[in-house]
Amino acid sequence: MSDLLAFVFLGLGLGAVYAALGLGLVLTYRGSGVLNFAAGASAAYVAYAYLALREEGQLFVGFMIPLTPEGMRLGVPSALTISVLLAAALGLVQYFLVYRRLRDVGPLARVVASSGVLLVLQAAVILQFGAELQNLQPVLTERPVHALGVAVPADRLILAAIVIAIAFALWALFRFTRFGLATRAAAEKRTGAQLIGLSSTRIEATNWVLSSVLGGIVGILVAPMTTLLPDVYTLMIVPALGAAVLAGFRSFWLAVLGGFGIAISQSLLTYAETQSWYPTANGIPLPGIKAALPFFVIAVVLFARGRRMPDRLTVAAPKLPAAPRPSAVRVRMMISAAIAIGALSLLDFGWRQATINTMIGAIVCLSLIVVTGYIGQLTFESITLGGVAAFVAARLSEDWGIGTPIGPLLGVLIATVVGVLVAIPAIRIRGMQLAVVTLAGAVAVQEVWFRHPNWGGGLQPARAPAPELFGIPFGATDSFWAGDGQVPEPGFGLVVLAVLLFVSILVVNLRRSPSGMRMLAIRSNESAAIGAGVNVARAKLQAFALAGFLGGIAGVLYAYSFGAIGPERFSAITAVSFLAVAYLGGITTVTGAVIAALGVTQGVMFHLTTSVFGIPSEYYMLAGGLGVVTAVLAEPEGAAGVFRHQWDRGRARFAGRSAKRAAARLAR
Amino acid sequence: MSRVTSGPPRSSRPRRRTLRAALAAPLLAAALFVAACGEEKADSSTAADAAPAATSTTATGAGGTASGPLGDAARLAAAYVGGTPGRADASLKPVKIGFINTQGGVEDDPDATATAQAAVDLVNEQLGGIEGHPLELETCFVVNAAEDNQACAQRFAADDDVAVVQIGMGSALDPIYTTLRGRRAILGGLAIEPSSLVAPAVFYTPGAARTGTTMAQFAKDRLDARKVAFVYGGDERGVQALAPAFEDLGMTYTAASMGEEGAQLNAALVATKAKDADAIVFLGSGATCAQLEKTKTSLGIDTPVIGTDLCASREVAEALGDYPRWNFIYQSANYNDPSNPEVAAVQAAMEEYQSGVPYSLIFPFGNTLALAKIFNELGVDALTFENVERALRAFEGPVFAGPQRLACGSLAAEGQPALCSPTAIVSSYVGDDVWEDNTP
Repeated sequence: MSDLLAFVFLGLGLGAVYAALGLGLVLTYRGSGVLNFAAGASAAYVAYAYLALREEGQLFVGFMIPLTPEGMRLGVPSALTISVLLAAALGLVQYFLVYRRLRDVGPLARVVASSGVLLVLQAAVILQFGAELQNLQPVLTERPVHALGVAVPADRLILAAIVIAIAFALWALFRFTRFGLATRAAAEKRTGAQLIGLSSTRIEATNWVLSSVLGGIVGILVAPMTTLLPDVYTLMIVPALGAAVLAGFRSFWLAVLGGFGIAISQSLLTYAETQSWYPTANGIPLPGIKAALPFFVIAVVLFARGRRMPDRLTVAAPKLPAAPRPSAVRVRMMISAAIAIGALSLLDFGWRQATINTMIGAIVCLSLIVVTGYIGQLTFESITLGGVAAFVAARLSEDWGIGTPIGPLLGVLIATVVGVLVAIPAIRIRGMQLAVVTLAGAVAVQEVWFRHPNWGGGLQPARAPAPELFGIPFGATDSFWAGDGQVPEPGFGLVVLAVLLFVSILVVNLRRSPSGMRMLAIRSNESAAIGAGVNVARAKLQAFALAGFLGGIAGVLYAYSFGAIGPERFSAITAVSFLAVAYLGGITTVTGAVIAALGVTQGVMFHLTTSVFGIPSEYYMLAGGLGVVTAVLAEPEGAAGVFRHQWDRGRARFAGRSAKRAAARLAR
Repeated sequence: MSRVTSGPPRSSRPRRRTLRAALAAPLLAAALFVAACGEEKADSSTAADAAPAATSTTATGAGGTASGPLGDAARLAAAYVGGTPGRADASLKPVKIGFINTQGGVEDDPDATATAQAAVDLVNEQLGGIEGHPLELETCFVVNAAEDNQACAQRFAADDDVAVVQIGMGSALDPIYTTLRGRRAILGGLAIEPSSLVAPAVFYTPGAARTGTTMAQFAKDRLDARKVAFVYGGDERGVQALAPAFEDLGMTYTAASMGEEGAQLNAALVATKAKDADAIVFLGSGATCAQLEKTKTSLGIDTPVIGTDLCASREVAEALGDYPRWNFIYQSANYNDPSNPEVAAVQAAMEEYQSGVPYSLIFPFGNTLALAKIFNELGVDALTFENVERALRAFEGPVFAGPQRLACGSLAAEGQPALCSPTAIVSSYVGDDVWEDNTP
């Protein structure tokens, strides 16, 4: 028993980090309805700024501003004060430049924007400091404290106490002050709050400042306990989200309890890993359990609490752009196919690969269009299901000798089944809660399944030997009669094109079918759909199954394209990125999926940019982040929406001129 | 603070590679769609251009000696590479080495490029190039793993002037192997991924499995270890690769994760009973190494530590005031030990050609000189895929500032046909800048 208590004690330090980040997430969500994926990146930015002040007396604002002569170091109090002010400014800048302008659009646009902000902050840090570890001198004492038979550096315990004190202060602030009351009122109904004279802008901005300052302080205090790296806190966003979800994005105390609970559980698992009864795989403790723990906690709690969870997390359906009925499908597909065939057969290897990457990316985006664009479920599981198909196909091939086409088809089938399993919680959990649970699920599947030595790849990636059908190989490196001998050969690209056309027709037909109409009805208003006799559960199962099917196909194609593919390809960050790119392209139409996929890694847009403009690699992340933020601010409906509006306006103008001419003729 | 800082050349700059490099697993190969890298044509190295255009070779003739600012270092390298000392003739067609490296993103190893480039500059400035032809490092940088690796490989596969592809640091390398199979010979850097062990490439450095054998033998022979505590980062696969070697020698082990950033280091030390173990095998890097040393001290743990060379870094030394007195396993050579004349030569070349930037990856320098040696032996007109591939595999070493003996394919029975070096080295820091070779 004392051993267990000791490990509870040892988990307090990390718990403080999760709890603090969770508190920040609660603040921004409660204050402005933003699920801030950039919270960790903001904390890291402030920690780096503090480092620059302490080491060189310079203020880091994306570039360095010297504050002291000859790079003299600043002392802890000065550096800490300036860093806190900088954190406050960072919160204000984020709010006024990005989130305030997005407060009337759906939560999905804000999620996408926050992923762009994440990239910008991370890129700014990497450009200035590089990706190497930085040595930040501790602010708190590290002297060991002995208790329960173990020693713990004092800074962990002090930090835990600080976070609990902050939670108390926040609770008191929101419970007893006019500001807290105003925030709660605005969170319930912003327009109502404005009617009674409350400034929602001031309320939201103040919450952003509080959140940013809290994250910054914790970032500075925690960095010496862990390591200071550009993405160090970004990786902690999943357990922090877990804490925030457990708190229903409302309760500060529950967020703190959740954060400490997850970290203490992980500490106890560290102890358990060394016990003989703990399950092992190839002689090592079963991998991934600690990383997957937040998912298990979130999934169980949310599923148990289900509809009783409050607020706009579940009540507000994600506001999504219109999903117009596809028109002129044959013409569009023929034109697209002709362009793709031309690129594959006439252009050089670089453009061929860019076209292939774009086409596979389009299939991932189609998966998101079905599950998010059509039925309105915010999920991150599409790319994960691609991994499921790839690893199942790899295992079938290596362990059972089952190759193409049976192996990959079975892989896609399993991905479809897993997609259906994801739909089961989606019947009870919805909105941003589903987004969070599937994000944590992506981490869990990656860690527990893909990295497992027997179930997934273990030490190996998912291998995909060159595919063949009827003895004819058609892999990326297999020679093709019309090829130029360079890799990739056009044959593989043509197969990918055929698959893309097939699944596009599938999605188009779904949109036109009664099933598609039912999905849109659910997206529009789930309660009304139920009232109209729509079987919501069945429709969700259909949508998630199709999304799994499409994601699985994409995963298998990725594996064939690369020859082998590792678990990291199907990470949670990749899932967030794909949701962002799908949203920017237009998440409700097939055309949007294709436009979105132009911007995937090494896709057509990417190849064009790098070959024509030659942007140095270190600026890609910054340019990408700025691009995401700019695009979502400029057109929250995505690029496809812009094209559609332009097209509609052009048609209207043409129709208007025709009508005028007809009227003039009649008048004559 | 800045990306490239000045500092003593002997020191190393810790990298994000951490466990990923040492233990075989990339953890975060995020494919942020917009944040990826493509072909890095703009950054292509032009070592050939760096050589003065009008100065044709002034070789002193066969058997002549290299001279210039590098002195002994150049003479040592010239003796190794062979050929005719002097400057390469910039007017001749360059011999290209395709060089793929992670650079510019969350994972960032610019020192791999820097050391390879220093070797190329040395060859062109003082070692006569390759039969007078300048050597050129054609770089392609990888920000995001799979797509970028594939793009780099496709670019080099399409360039008939690229005689060989060298890999610096990297992860998710399979697209490179798949694309270049049968098209270009590949000389790998560190065999950090299991798939690299069986790749159609050769690696002049030992892999994780061989590192495990050396670690285990050292623990048994020099520390008389029976119980070992494995403390590792976020990736269990490092332990999976290394631990069997300890069991094979009759040792028992307990393993626990400290979390990727070392947040659970205390819990891991307590859980593995590190205080009572005969050795701590630490699979971390950079700041977590400093954390371990400080925690050991504060908790009164005096168990000897076996760590990777990632812990013998400048940041660790700065954080602690000196290198920790641990036993470090090195893949090729102890780059902190200037008493090794070849390591000193690398330091001199880095000072001369790379302004003394800190570095920790020494193998690209050695591998590049090995390529120059092989090219000189083959002759410029014989640098076909088949010839280069055959010569790479037949090369028996030594590698400059690296393994002294190579036997490519000799580890095939152990499932590692791509590896050529059967040994890693153990170097123990005893304080006052003194290192002891403790290779078992």
